[in-house]
Amino acid sequence: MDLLPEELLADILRHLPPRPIAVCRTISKGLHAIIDSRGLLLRGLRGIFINYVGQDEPYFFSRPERVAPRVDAGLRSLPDIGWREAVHHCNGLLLVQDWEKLYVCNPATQRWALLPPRCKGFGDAEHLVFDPTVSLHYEVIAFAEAPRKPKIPIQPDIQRPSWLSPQELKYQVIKTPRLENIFTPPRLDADDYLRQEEPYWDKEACLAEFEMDQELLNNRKPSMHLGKSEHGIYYTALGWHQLRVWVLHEASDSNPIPEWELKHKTDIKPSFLQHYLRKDWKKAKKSWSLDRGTEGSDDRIDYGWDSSDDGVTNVEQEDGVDDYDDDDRYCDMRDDMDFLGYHPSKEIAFLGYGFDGFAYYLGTSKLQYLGTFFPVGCYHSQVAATHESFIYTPCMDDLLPDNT
Amino acid sequence: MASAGSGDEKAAAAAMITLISSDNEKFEVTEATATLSQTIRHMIEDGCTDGGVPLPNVTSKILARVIEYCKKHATAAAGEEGSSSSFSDAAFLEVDRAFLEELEEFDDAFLEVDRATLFDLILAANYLDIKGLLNLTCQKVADSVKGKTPEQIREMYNIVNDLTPEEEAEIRRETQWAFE
Repeated sequence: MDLLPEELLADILRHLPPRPIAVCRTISKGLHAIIDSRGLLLRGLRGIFINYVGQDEPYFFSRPERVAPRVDAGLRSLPDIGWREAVHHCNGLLLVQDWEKLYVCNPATQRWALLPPRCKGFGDAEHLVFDPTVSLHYEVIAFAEAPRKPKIPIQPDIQRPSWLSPQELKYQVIKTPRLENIFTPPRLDADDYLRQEEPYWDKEACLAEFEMDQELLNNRKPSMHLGKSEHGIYYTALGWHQLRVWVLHEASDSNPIPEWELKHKTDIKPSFLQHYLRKDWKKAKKSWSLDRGTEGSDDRIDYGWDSSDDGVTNVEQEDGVDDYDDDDRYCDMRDDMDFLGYHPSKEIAFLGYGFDGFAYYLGTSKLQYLGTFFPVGCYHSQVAATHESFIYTPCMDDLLPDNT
Repeated sequence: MASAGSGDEKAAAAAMITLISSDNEKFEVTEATATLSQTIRHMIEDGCTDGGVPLPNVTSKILARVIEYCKKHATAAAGEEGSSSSFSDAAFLEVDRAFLEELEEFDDAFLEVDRATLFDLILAANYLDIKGLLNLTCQKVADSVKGKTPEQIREMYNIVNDLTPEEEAEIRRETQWAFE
């Protein structure tokens, strides 16, 4: 095999499904490098499709890549009737809906299929199931009038809810962790309010405002997310900048009932403050950007964002923390944060604050600024920036029709 | 040079091209056979095939095999063109199908070569830019590693494992699903 140039070895590997490619990756340094540098196995993260509040289509927030394949970030291969959003993603296939239709598309191969019209009574709870290591056929699952919050009894831990038919018994229902007493709402400081109001000296109004703000803060509900990463299935709750992460221990012979283990419990506010209180935070290196599938986005440069510690906020090296930036809007961190998803094979959580994207390394509690996913032409900043996001891992294999 | 731009289609179809292997053996082929190679097609278009086409990267042994492939597939391409004009003719389609089956059998037999020859064919198909042959030969190598363990593949292709056991375990761990 050493006789063939890399380009031809890559050609040969392109004829293989994922499983043997994964086997070839472990054969030698050379093959490993060819497969990874050309993204032939594509097990890795390529970017995040984000549905914005108030935008007509999802955008792709990603690390620029020079390697093939080119991802159709703007979903240009699909018919465009003016509005659409991503519904679900699974191992390289994306479920996309517009006003009337539902599509399954593969942004890496630019192939897509139109799904049959929705049956009456089936709402918007569609899920895509696709695992190219098992089969190239995909399934789309829609629950008929699924209750938004199915009432699943606390005991026993596994129970079939009434809205699953017997034939759906193969889907096991696992109760998510309880969130009571998991978070501590932050306490505001009444003295701060008084200090700010000093010139006007309306103490009562000031204290009333403080009470109200504290009340609002106390009533804030955490947001919950289910995702996959290094150790399997992760359940994440994010509230008041506090991050709680559970990892699922799947059922086994010794442990017949699946169990959640609270694995990470951190307050990320200090890391964020550190980032925004840096005088030069606006000049922070951006390794990710929004790829809207327009021409010219190909020549972005790869900075290798997760291969070095560049740009990661580091406690020791922060000398200027006390020097507040003139623009101190971020010092008051009461806004909601977005949880964008997990890196599929490393314990890295992608977070959004406003339109700023961050990578948070769970193991080391390091926060790295990635770049902005602010869409041009979007002016609101008071509401949450995103309402859904999907970690995208490309796959070059599918059985979708070529509609080009 | 003489035929370029003259528009004499019949003369062009019957034109013969001389291919010269690295070991200086000459092969006379029709233009239809030779133009399965994009590389040679471009040479013909540029009118630089007079006096033969030297192919310094291809030995006579391999070139003979490549020409064998091209002859068969050039006939197939000509057959396809002929049948497309009488699309509705069921008899024609029947003949077509029989021909495609025959072509498949030919390809299978064609690939019954040792590994060194297979690699040489890949290199030649790449150099001559013959898409069908490149695809066929790459697929053959790809098929040979399907379902094999890393150790079996290393043995089959004499690949030295230069990964440390730790590195190998780490890479393997990243795609544990492929080894279950």
